[in-house]
Amino acid sequence: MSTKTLSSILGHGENRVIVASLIVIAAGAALPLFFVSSYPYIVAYLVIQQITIGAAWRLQYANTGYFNFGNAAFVGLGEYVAAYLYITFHLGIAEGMVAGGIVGALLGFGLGLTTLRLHQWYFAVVTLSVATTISVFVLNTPALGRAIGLSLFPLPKPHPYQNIYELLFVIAVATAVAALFLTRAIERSQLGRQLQAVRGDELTAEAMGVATLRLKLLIASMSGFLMSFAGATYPFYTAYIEPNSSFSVSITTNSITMPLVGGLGSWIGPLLGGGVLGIAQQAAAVTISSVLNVLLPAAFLLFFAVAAPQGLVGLIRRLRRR
Amino acid sequence: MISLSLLTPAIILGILLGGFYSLVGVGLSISFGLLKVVNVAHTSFMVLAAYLVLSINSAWGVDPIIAGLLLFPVFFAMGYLLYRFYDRAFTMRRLPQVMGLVFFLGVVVLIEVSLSLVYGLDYRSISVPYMAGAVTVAGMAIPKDLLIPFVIGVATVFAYYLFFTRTYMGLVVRGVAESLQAIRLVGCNPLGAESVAMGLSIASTALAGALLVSFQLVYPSEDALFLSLAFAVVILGGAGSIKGSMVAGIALGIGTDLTSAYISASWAPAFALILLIVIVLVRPRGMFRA
Repeated sequence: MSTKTLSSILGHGENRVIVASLIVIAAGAALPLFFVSSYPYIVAYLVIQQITIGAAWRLQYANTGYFNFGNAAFVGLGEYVAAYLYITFHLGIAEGMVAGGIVGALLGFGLGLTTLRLHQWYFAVVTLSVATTISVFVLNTPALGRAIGLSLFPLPKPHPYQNIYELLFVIAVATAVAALFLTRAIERSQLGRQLQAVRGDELTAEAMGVATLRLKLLIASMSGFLMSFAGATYPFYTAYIEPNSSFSVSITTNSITMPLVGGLGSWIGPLLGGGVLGIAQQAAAVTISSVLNVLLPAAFLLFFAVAAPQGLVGLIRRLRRR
Repeated sequence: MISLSLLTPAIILGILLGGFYSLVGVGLSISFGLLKVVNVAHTSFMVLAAYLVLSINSAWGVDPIIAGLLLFPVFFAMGYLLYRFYDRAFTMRRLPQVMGLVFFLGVVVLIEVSLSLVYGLDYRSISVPYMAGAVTVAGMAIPKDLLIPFVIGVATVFAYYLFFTRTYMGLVVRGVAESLQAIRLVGCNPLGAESVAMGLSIASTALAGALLVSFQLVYPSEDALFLSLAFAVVILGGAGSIKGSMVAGIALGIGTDLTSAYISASWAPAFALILLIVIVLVRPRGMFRA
């Protein structure tokens, strides 16, 4: 296929991005039909999930400067909403994701309403304890299984795929593409420019007629929606959830590591970082040791914070300039 | 029905617990409030100290509180050097503060993973003979395993209070928090004093860790629970105020204990966040000014 026909299929400008996104989603959906397996899809699902959560986290940080420390709270909340609806009302994965997303958006909105008028640190500090608090709520609620957890057996039929991991992989690909597309589109829109103005100088932006609080709340809700929306698929992957792992701090650190490694300044950061970290972790687990595998996120965080705060995107840009 | 017979013991036990919370919070108040370093690894250092005390105790039979005092200068040096490094790596390069936060997040993961690899995931503690039992004061039994952490916690926070209000170095650090430019104008280089303050901040976790392992169970990921608690102390007391962390720690102790007594112990960890949200809504600057 020549580049000319390729570009005529892809269209121009923004259309090209839309078509490319749809192609990636379609390819993701078709892959398991031709290549039936489970392990590769498990690994890919986990990495792609982290990319989505990382993109959702970066959406808020990069656009508003608010550092969410409670990613695990949003993800865990999505898990519990979806699992509860599946067990009690036999709702499917998609319904669970939407419901989880709405609850996550409400949490983001609520937390935003209490803290977004204040200095950035208040939001970070409050979100820090939200995961613990929601897990305390779960531990005290019999309908949510308390410490014992919730079991999702029997799992839904993965039609038209062979196993649940293939289905979850397809959902994860579509969600990640949508999340990345959304963050990219927001940054290029008028909304994105208004947000940058707010980040630059909130008072001036406000004086110019930008509804600062409303925009920050919108982004907080969107980011919360995406995290819980993605998190809602986890119970179907594990078939069983319990509060300790659903609200684990490692969810938060992993999802911050990905965009940081890729570069906080660009929408592609979570994708790049997720790919590199995911591959590095798999490679380390297989070739060197599983110990290194768990230490890698810490090593990446320390290294990139000190040596490459612009992430891989920044490194690439610097190389290009030479 | 609220039974009043529970009230007095709950408040007294809360005050005792609060003395320990003050010690956990005071170091974070110094780093977060005075030095503007968002040290999210603060309580990770405490858990690290708890495990080191455990090792020192099992290897040489050293009393945990003595071991904590031995670790105090080691952790002080660690904090001192950490601040020098932080200043070079982040402040002088004018990197956004968030990179410092991300750096400490890396330290959190590093400490937690290392502890789980070395010590395993089991709950550990040291039984200290002289902390068993209770002393009776005015007809009320006061458990020694709460009384001793209270006394050491309050004494340390008071010593810190004297340092930051009565010594030249302490005043410099508080002056920098007020206005770096003014401090430079009077011709003093605050880096040394700030490094000492960070040293004291981290050193306080050595004592807190030693106390923690002698009256409670420790496990590698315990830092998260205490971090929200420590931030609640800092925000309630007013970031950077030593007096504030003293009062806020005790208020949080009473609140947590009343939650345990009247609702359920399983709800107690949620109290810190509820309190935090209330303060943020009502009085975000906290009770005291730094």
